[in-house]
Amino acid sequence: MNARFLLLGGCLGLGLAACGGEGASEETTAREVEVAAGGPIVVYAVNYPLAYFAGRIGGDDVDARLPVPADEDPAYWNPTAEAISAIQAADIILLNGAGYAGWTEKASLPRSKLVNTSASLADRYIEADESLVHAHGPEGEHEHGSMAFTTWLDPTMAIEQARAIRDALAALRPEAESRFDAAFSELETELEDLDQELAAAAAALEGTPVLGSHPVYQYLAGRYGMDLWSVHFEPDESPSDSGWQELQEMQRERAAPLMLWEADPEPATRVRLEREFGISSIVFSPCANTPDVDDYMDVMRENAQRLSAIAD
Amino acid sequence: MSGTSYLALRYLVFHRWKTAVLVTALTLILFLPVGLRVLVRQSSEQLTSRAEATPLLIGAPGSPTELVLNSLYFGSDVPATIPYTESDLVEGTGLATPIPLYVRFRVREQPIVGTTPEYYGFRNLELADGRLPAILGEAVLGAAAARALEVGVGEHVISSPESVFDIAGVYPLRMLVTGVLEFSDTPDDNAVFVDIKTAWVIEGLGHGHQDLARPEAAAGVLRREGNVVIGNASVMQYNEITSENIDSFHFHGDPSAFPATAVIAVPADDKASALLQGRYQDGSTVQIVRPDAVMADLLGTVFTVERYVVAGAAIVGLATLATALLVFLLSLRQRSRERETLSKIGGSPAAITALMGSEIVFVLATALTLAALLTWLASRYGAEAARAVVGL
Repeated sequence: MNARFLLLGGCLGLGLAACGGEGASEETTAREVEVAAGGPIVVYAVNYPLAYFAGRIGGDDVDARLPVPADEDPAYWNPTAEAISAIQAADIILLNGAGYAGWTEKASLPRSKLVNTSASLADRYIEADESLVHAHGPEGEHEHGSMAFTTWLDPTMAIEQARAIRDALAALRPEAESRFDAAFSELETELEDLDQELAAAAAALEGTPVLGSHPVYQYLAGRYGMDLWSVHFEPDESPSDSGWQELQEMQRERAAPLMLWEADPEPATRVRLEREFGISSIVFSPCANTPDVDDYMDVMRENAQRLSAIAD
Repeated sequence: MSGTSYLALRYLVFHRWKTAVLVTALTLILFLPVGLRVLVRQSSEQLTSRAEATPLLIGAPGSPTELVLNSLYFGSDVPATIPYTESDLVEGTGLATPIPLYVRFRVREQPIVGTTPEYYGFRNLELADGRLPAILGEAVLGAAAARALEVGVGEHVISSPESVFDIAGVYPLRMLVTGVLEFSDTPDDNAVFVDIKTAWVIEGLGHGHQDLARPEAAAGVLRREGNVVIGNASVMQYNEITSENIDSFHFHGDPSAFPATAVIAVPADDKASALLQGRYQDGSTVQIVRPDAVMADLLGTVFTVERYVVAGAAIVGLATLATALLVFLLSLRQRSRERETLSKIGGSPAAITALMGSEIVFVLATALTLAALLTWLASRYGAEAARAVVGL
């Protein structure tokens, strides 16, 4: 009843401030009309694999965009306000999930346009082993960053992520669903083939410890049962003394003959790895950003071939 | 102008104060019930239009009125909260688009409305200047809020503590104003809009602080236990989110459990609306209301009171008219010698009656005209005047 009296007291002031038309903004309406009329669905993705999947599945119906500059790691990219404003106007915003692209947690994004492509895979997330826990204030202990996020390196997970993209596109443009289905099936087949190639290569490495130059290969290792250990080496930097020391300690335990790199390491690093530790370096690109040449499937097949060659 | 009219007018002008009092009293008594009715009807239409434009509202069980007043007009007390995940549940049904709201904090007198970008499109809000919030810690102001706070794009607003005595409570957050909305003549004009995550930062559910792993934060480290760093009370928390420190901002806990005061549900059609309402019939953990129905119920109460007020004004009006009549009669009696003089200089009884009657007609006509003018002004400018008075 208090509210009634409040209303009686403030009715005029409140009420008179409450007129005006409601509905979709002109910009949104114009965009919706454009999409409804068959214009391309504008899709922003947080990484290249998702943008690639969207482009493959959507074909001419989709304008798939990756807003991350070519020289940035999409996982750690911090967009400008202008970039976020452009993303806000998208029809679909593809998230990788598993905590990938932390900027999305701090950006103002239209939730109705967000598609977490790995939402159905949450039970398959792998915990990262390098989270920092800290405690202060009344909230007590908490930690920052806890999940490995390069989910697409497991082709079966990539298929599910692509499926989520297919579903999102079909929901927005039901009349094109059959086209999306056909394109998805084709992509699914290619990813299944890739899975078999990688499985064959990994089988040859069974029982062999493998090093990751960076902790980004958890899902690859998880899928194929690889005995993976990671250091924190950057391809374009010489490892620090403590980095070498860490490697030495690891090698003492399990003597891995192979290190996976996100990109070609510096020649000196490659040589030192071979001479001092007997470690061969091969590039297994996660392909998180747009490759200079080729596309996602090409890069992944090359990864599989390199892995297969060295395993042989 | 006839001689009778001229004489009547001259009389009224000569007795200008008595005439002014009579005209004022009659004007007010004619205007009050009509003007009040106009204002109330106008208010109710405006309240109803916003309620009708908000299809469904989901909130915690409790007073639907409080929920609607808080969510639509940003007034009333803060209702009990629901978990943010209610938005996901609505979305999961595929029946409606959810727009979460968290209306709890203020910048001085202006309500801070934590929401998602869908809100601006839903309410047809256009930018007059700048852009919408892009990241945590940014705000866009309604036109009236920008005026009241005297800030523009590129300047800052600071959230107000909920209680001056709560010195250990939420930290005031300094927010960058990235845009100002066009005047919409709605409660949105008075609001400070932020992303709902920014509202959570204001509440303290998210924060940014020195990186305890870095050497410069050593003074803030109480002890280290493995990969656990225990901070002490001197850990510096940021009260403004900038591009330099945004990486340090993080939320504690599961955001899906974070609070919202309501979720606006925008169903695709009537069928989806009915189906969605059916899913919330239980109402044990959340309630779903149709704001137009809630407002209709409220306005029914308002109209009842209005009827009493109008009836009271009518009675007062009758009393005033009777008093005015008495004034006229007494005036006529006082003017008996004047009538005799007019008769002696040749004025017929009819002419004398016409003269006296003209004076009354002039007074009544003036009062009626002024009352009509005031009613028109009330219907035309009443809203703005009321806002200026109430400060909304």
